[in-house]
Amino acid sequence: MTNLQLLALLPFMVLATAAVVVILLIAFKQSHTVIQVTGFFMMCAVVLAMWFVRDTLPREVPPLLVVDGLAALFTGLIIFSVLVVGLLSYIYFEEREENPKEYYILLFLATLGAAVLTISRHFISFFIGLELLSVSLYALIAYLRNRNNAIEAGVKYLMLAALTSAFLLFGMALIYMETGSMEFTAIGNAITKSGTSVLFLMGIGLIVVAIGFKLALVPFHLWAADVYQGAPAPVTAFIATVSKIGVFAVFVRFAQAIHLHENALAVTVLTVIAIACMIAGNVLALMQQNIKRLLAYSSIAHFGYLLVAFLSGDAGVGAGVFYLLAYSITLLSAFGIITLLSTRRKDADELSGYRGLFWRNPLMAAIFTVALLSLAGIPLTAGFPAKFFILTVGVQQHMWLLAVVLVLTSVIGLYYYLRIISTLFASPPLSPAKEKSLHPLFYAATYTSLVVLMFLLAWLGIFPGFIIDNVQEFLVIR
Amino acid sequence: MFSLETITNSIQQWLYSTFNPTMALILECAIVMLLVIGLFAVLGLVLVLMERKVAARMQIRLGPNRVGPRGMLQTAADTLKLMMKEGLTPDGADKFLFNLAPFIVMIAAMLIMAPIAFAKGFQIWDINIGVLYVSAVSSVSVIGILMAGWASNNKYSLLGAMRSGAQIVSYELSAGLSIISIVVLAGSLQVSDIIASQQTGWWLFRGHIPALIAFVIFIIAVTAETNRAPFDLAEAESELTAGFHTEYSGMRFALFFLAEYINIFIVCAIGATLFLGGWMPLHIGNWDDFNRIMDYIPSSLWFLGKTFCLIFLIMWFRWTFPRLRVDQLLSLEWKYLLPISMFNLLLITLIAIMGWHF
Amino acid sequence: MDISQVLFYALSAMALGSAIMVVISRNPVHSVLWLIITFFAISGHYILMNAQFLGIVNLIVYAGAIMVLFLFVIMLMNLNAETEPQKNKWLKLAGVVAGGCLLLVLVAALKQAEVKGKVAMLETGDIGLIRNLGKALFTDFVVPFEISSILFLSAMVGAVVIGKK
Repeated sequence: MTNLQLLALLPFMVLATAAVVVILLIAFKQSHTVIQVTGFFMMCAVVLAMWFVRDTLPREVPPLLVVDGLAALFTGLIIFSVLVVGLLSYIYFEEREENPKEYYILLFLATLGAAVLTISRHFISFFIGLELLSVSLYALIAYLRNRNNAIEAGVKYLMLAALTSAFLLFGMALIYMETGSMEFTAIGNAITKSGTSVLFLMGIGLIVVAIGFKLALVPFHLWAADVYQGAPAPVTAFIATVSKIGVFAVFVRFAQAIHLHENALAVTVLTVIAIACMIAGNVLALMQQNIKRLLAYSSIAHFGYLLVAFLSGDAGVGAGVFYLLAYSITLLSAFGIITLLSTRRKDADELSGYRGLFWRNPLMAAIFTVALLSLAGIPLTAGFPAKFFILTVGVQQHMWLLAVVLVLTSVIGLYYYLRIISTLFASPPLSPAKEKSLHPLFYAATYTSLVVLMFLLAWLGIFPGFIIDNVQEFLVIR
Repeated sequence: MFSLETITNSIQQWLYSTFNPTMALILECAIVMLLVIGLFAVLGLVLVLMERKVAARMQIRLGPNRVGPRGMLQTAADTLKLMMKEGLTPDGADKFLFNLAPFIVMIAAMLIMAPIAFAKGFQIWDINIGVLYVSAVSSVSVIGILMAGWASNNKYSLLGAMRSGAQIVSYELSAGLSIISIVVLAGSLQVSDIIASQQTGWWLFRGHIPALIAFVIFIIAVTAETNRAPFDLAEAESELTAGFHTEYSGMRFALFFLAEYINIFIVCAIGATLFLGGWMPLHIGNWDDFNRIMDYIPSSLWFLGKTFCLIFLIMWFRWTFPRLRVDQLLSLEWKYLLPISMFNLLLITLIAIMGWHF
Repeated sequence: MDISQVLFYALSAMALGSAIMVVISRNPVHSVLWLIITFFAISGHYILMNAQFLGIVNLIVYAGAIMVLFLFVIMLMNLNAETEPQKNKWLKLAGVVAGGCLLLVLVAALKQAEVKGKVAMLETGDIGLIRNLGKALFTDFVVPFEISSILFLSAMVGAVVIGKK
């Protein structure tokens, strides 16, 4: 291992160090505030480290890892999301009697898992990264264990994640048996040489089951609503963004290496899954009264849209990254609002609690409205160009069926997003004002970050060109 | 000079010259099995008698002195009695597991014998991961104990088994770490290599203070692993009747009892092999005359002598220290022994890398 | 048929048979004990492939530690047939159908597969020996090795967080 390779891994080492630093801070009995601030600066240090190593890319760390433009993009997305999730966590956990400190260790370790996924090009690092992510998530989901839902959600996630890990390993074993290698490119070479066999397809199928579980694609989505509801709001935001970005990144790399788009059967299966996601996600969300469950179904639909970009092959990667960026910003601001409204006893997940939010707190209502409009894909918000790019790529690749379903289901989706927005502006019920006991600085910080997110959404919606050019520039680095 | 190696070699040569290889292998296996069973019987008799005599000595009384000269045949008579007794199976017990458990404990004890070198060239199976094999197989006996406790359908048995299991699983860690520290010094897991590396001196002396610490931790850990006082909570008479073997009687009880003493012998043999050079005679630097005199003592005597010294040490503990509470037991391991042995392992690695040992 | 083939078939039969018994035995303690036997059979396979270290570590970690903890929990929970929750009959049927479909697909795929040309290395591979394994882990695979240690850290923190008090 050379110095340059070590240098390329610097951001990941800083990320791992962040967890250790938090452990040490806990050992020296520092307060939640100190840990929060240190964590924030450590994440900033990760960003700095990424900036520092950008010129050395692409760099291979054989045999398991490769740090290239794709990895840098996805890691950047992940770190950005974690920064926001970390900020949201302070207010959420400070209000609760449970000790919030260990939360940050698990948060950073889960982030490391997702980041490892983005740079892995070998089954071993794929599996270890995925496990690091899931094992940390088990505890994160059940973190507020005094609530019934939390333990239920944690156990559900644990059982299903363990089962899908078994599927994943079995799939890997079958592919290894067929091709004699566990490295993505070597598998791709073996397949182009000898053609795909039944066992190989079987292995791909089993791996798709595991990835489908993590991304909550349709036949494997049953956990999503319960886990989204039971987990603490910042953790839900984490699951919806970081965990899915990491898994999507490794899926993209794997598919590129083994030329999944040239395999007719795999394309058919993924097309069916994408259509099912779009339809099921939007239809299930229609009558949902619980915001967190609704966002779960909506994220199922969104990953259906994302699969359209995925199925377009290399051309769709840029659109997919842009979509993920817009989706993460949107979801993070939506979950930011949920976090701010949550009380000591329960999360603000009932739709009725949002009635007349505009009259009580116009800023929050404005941010939430922009986020929902962006989720629905209304012009002038980030969701619109994101969906537009995906549609363009899909049409360019002549995937008419997917394009039509995308448009139709987006229209269905509009209904329930607008339903929430109309609730925000309805006349408010008489409710006691919430007392604020925390230091105003943190409220100011959270509000500022949410406002920044809102402006980002608008900026991306109006001037998407700058970002999409940068994304394409990064994607060339490989 | 008298040596067991020549005997084993001649037997092997004779077997291979008379029979075909497969047959010879089978015969060898049979001989080894007979020897191990014989050794078990003898060890059981000797160790139980030794325990009672040592205990009596510590408490200023005579101990067994009626059957045979100076009570030597007392344990033989006890064995006879146990064999004659009826083996009861309690109502509501899981019959199959209840009957299987003592055999599992016994078989695990037998399997551990494989890599132990009793004398120069006198070893059943010199597997290349010898000491790891020992800790692997010794962890299996926990399963037998848990089985016995659960299958008896008795709360004392279950509690005893649980205590015993918790104890063995936790103390296995620090025992394993102190074993590994010797492996680091010797640079091999193979038992014969570890013994050969102590040609110029035993690791206990050559490894400076860290090796001494590892030895002390090892002795404490194995005392706990064999459920001996002061760590005998699993069968604390005043609290749990007799722990996991409360419901056992007759020959099945005898098997548990025997396995317990065999385990003491085995851990002491491992300790003697790792820290005290196994069958290697005591050599001191350049004192050639002294070393030559030491070489005249047969290697098997060296091994047995060292092992029995350690056994005596462990028996001594029983009458010296009061029994610990469960929480004290666990916090001793997790809060003191484990951190110390991890740090110690680091020190020993440093010593091994820098070559600071003698 | 030489001795290692005989051993291979015997161990495979043992592993499969006891794995089936894990699933179908009614008493959870018996299930765990069958699982232990499965692990022993798998360790035997490792040793057949000249990976003694992996085989023994498999025994120490799984049979010696993890399964003992399983036994602990299950024995103390005192599960009986009466405490077993009654599941929906249709759910059971759906499970059987889904599992049967998966089995069918797997068997069909394996029947189609060519396995003639693929031979496992018996007693010749030496990567399982501890010296080679250590070298591989600390040179080529040092990054994933460190990451897996972080994985254990996260599991430990998670267990402490969920389990304390």
